Amino acid sequence: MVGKQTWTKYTALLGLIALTAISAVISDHFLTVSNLFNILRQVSINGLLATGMTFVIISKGINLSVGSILALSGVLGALAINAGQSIFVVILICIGVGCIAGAISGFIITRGGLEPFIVTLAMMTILNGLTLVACDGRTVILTRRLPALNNIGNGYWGPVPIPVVIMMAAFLIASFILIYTPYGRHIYYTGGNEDAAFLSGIPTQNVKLNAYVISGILAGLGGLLYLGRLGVGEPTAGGGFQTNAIAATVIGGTSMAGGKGGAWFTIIGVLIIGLIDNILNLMNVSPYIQDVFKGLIIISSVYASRKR
Amino acid sequence: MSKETQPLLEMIGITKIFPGTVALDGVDFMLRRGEVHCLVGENGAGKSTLVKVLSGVYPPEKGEIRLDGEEVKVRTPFEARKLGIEIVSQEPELVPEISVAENIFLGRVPKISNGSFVIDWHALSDKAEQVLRSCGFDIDPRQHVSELSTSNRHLAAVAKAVAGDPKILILDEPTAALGGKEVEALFGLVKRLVAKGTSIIYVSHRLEELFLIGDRITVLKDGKRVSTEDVKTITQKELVKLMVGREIGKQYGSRQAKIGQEILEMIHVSDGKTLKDATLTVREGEVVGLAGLVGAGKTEVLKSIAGASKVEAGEMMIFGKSRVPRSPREALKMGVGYVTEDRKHLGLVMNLTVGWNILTSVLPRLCRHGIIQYSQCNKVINDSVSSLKVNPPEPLKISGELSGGNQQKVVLGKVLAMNPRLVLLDEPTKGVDVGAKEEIYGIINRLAESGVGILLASSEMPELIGLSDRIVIMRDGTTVAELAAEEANEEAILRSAIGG
Ligand SMILES: Nc1ncnc2c1ncn2[C@@H]1O[C@H](COP(=O)(O)OP(=O)(O)OP(=O)(O)O)[C@@H](O)[C@H]1O
Ligand SMILES: [Mg+2]
Repeated sequence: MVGKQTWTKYTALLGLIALTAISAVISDHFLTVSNLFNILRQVSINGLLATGMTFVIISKGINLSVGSILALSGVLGALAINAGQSIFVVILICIGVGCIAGAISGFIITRGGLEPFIVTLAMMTILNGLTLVACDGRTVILTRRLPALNNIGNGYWGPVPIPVVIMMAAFLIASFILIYTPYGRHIYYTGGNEDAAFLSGIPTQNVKLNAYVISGILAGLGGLLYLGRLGVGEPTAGGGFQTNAIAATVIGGTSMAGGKGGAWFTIIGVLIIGLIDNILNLMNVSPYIQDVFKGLIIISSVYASRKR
Repeated sequence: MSKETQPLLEMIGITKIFPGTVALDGVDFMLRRGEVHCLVGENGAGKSTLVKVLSGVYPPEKGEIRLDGEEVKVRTPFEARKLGIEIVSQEPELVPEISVAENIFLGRVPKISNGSFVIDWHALSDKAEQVLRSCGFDIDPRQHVSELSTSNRHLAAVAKAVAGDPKILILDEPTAALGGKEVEALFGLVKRLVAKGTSIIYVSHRLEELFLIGDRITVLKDGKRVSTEDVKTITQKELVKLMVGREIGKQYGSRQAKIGQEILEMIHVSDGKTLKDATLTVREGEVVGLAGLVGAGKTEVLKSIAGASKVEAGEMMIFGKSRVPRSPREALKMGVGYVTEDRKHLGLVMNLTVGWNILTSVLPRLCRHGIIQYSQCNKVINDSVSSLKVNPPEPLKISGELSGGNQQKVVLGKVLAMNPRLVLLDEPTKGVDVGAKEEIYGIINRLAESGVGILLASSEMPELIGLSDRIVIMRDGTTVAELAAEEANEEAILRSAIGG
């Protein structure tokens, strides 16, 4: 039986296939291994953020603070390096920042009963402020080379860029959680009908809180990749990341109404956004116009997968 | 044809197809002026779909609708309203966080002057009060809908439809959510409307009602019209046979249950609000009925045992230990299963499949090393779907697309999948057809035989009397009397329930 959910998955997949075909026609260069991996590397940070966002959106929430988490963890990571800390401490800091920020948002949303939109919007502002305080408003330039860090951002594993390996691992783990663990399924029940889920014995508050923690951790990991890739702690790095993460999730077919979607949907959404950027770059379209295109694509893809 | 003899409404050859289901297959339906035309049939027969086609919710694939002999197109609920067709659907949707008055006049709020867009709040609440009074409903129009009980919410939806002064009023299972007193008020209203010349389409599974207020009855089966009968010339038994295709024997069945130890004891339990003082016991293998008028606190008793509401005072012994579940999760862990009466808001996740809904509570039990074992899941789902005879028996169907009665079976299946030892049932046959009712009664009997204790809250007296070993009667949040099966009859129950 082809239910509505599978059909939604197909519309996004068809879009991805169409975009791939268009790219291949536009540029001979497109279908080379190096270009494909290049695209994957470009989308890897968004891939991480969107994966986390998927958990939150299925639970019928939203996390507007992921870009800010990314910036703060990148800056704190950079400061830690300059303070002579090892790569392990840096990784711990990046992930820890995300984990704590996500937990605080999740705690306020569940225990305080506040709207996720408002809470994570406030969290975004708070984190932006903290980031600027931490680095005194200036880009943190590394005073020390850390080969392991450079590897995380720019290294390869065979032909595969390390960021791509990290993104794929996150996707696989996320899919596994969403499909094969009770916690994962509980997110769907909670997002679909929180009251019914609670009456059925599902710890809905913890389910939601954990979704924000997961989203935060992946955003912190995104900050680590950003730091590794560019080699600087950039306080304004966050701008635009949350919109891209939300867009990828929704384009993939995860519903803002909650209870519907999945990590495989999101990977398609992430690739669609990556391909659009790539095509527009290949065609030398101005970056300003690119944003206009992206907005139109979001609307049309959500329209294509809407409830009939 | 003169205007008098011409039917008000003709639906001709209506066909409606959903992916995988032919919900209506060339159905003809004719409604006369000032008649109450009842629509009956099994769960999933297409009753709701037919009235939704008429009220512009679903466009039909084929067929024609004629009003006063002229073909009309009803493409949206808004158009239906303009044609004078109002519907109170099976699960009426009101806006919860605004007042009853505003809901009643949603989309046609009175303005301070003609052509103005400023709302006249005084007129709004006056008019709402008038409407409610003329309907004979005891509801405060200033209350928010979210504060109303399920039955009052339903009545508010009726008032909303009546406020539109319709030519055709459609009531889809209006009494499923109502108690005796409310049903009486509704019937009074129906009679007054009919006297005024309004035509009414009345969908119900409570067959005895049809003989009280109906003029004609149309029977649907599997999306087809079986026949249309005059109420005066058909018996209930014949009607059942037309609906189900077979005769229904002893509705309530029988059981050989061994009554064992006490598994639930409530002593002066109160929730500080509606529930004032509940004292009762349930033993293994026993079915205890909970009777009382709407608002007497039956649901609150069940909720307090299920961990769904806070217990402020009193004592509870569950399975021999003194404890009060603080959450539904705790209650389930103890082996207490709760079937809610509000399947749409509290029962099911409507956009998930039947299968996933059945698994809601059991997933952690179907794991090995924390990983869900899908082969076991499928077994649980298939067992449940087949033992409850969910129709269509399709675990991949989205729950929201099932007919109302079949959704009810899924709610039951979800709770039974937990193998609870104490089952709390709140109106378990709400909106369920005669055949399926018999099946649910069978399930209750089998549960009792296997030693499960059952607390059954119901506003259908025959059901309570037919199934219970004892009946506890509530009035005003307090358990006031208890009757043994032998001494229970409707009159005795009602006397205690009303008091005095
Ligand atoms: N939105 C929908 N999408 C898909 N199938 C649907 C939808 N609505 C109803 N159906 C199917 O159409 C058939 C008729 O359903 P309908 O709700 O009209 O039954 P009903 O006679 O009102 O039953 P009940 O007494 O249980 O309320 C059922 O098989 C149902 O599963
Ligand atoms: Mg129905």
